[in-house]
Amino acid sequence: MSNEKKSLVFFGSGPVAAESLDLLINEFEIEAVVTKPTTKREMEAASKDVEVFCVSNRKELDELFTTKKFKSELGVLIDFGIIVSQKVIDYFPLGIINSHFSLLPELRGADPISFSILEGKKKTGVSLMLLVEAMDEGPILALGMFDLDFSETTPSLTKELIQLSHSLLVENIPKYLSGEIEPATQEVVQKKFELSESYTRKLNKNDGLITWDKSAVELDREVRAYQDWPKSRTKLGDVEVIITEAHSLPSNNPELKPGEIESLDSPLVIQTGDGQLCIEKLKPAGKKEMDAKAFLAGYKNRLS
Amino acid sequence: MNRDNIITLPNPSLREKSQRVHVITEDVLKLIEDMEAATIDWESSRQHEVGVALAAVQVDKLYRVVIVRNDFNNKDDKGFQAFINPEIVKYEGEIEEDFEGCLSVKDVYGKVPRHTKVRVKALGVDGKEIRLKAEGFLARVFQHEIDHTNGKLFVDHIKDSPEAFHKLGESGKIEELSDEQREEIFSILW
Ligand SMILES: [Zn+2]
Repeated sequence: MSNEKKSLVFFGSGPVAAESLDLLINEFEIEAVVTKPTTKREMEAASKDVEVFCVSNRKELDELFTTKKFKSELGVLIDFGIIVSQKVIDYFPLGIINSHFSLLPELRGADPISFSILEGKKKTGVSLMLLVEAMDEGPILALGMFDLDFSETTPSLTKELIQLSHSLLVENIPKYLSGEIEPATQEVVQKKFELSESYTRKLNKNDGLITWDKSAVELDREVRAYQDWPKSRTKLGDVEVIITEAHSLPSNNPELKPGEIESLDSPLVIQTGDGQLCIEKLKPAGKKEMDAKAFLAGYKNRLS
Repeated sequence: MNRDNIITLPNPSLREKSQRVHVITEDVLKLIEDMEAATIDWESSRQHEVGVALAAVQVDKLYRVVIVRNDFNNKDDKGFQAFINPEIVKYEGEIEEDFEGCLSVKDVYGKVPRHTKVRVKALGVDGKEIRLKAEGFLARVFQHEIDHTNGKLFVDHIKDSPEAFHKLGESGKIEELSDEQREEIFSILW
């Protein structure tokens, strides 16, 4: 028996999409790649010989699908950054699969990876969802779980989830194409896996400014979640620093106010609103990342 | 073997019943290897199609031997599993129409009604019995291939529904046939 070759159209913009495409292209026939003009280069590098189309917004995306003919019955979308209209979704008889990096309906929206760390989740993962116009509300084809051990940073967790997403896609796209998977509503999935329903917002640059009134546990999470961007920034004495590695301590020094340094000798411990934050690595403005010991030795006189 | 060993309609062998394999000899194993090679070679000549499965009759060997691709949608997985003396022991599920093509029926795709679930019994290359439940597309594949071992082709199922006949267009999309095209194809099939 022969069958028409099943191909996919890939939608994605940015490094996560490029890395995912780079893996996917070895396993599936990709008919075309759709991306934003700003990420054309990196997507082209991952696309090998596949044609890349650029659209800057929803209207241009609609236009692409009225002017160009694609044979694929299924689209795959990872971190595309443009909301796809129902018209484009309906272009594909089997719809568009979106790989979303959280356990839906938890953490719907942008930056789910950072928020899974910020919220101190014990479990996160990847959801394969059929795209609908309403954001992140489509029926679920498959979930992949990942246990967090509270040492993950956004870049390290992103790497893990790209791999998880890839193995979910490799396992489930063929099953979906051959009609072996019945998508489940998010309500059903939520009940089955005892998930909450929550939304995230887009991070902004000011999120990185440390508020020492927060608890040490929260600040530990922030340092890990904001690793790549917006980075956890503060002033120690008169030195601007980015904290790159830290852990929370349950101890409190009632004589210190939040933001004050416990001692000018190593370890570098800062009082917070609840608990203390022990800083292991940091990057003073204009300098390379260094450990706390080197920092204390070099900047002691500017800290008090 | 290569793609030239695959016979196509109107070759009359395709409508003959194949015989059971009683002993899995070296020749049978060689036949399976040949069938795999022929399918892969056929596929390499087709831009928009995958060779999903093949029955021995299609390389003009009238034995009840069928090979099925391990992964239909992974373009680099060129592995197959062989099923000797396969038979459907139970039909389940519903009847569903979907497209299928055949390496022995050039360029034609048909919307064929098939059961969505079947239970299959066969022998593996090691002579051990295989029992499996197939669903969805795989169920369709087994029904198509086991038909071959009984001298039946997918076009025979839709003989009376001319609108079920389609062709694969140049872009790889399945397209409807014009009346002329349909007439021409029918003259080859029966
Ligand atoms: Zn066939």
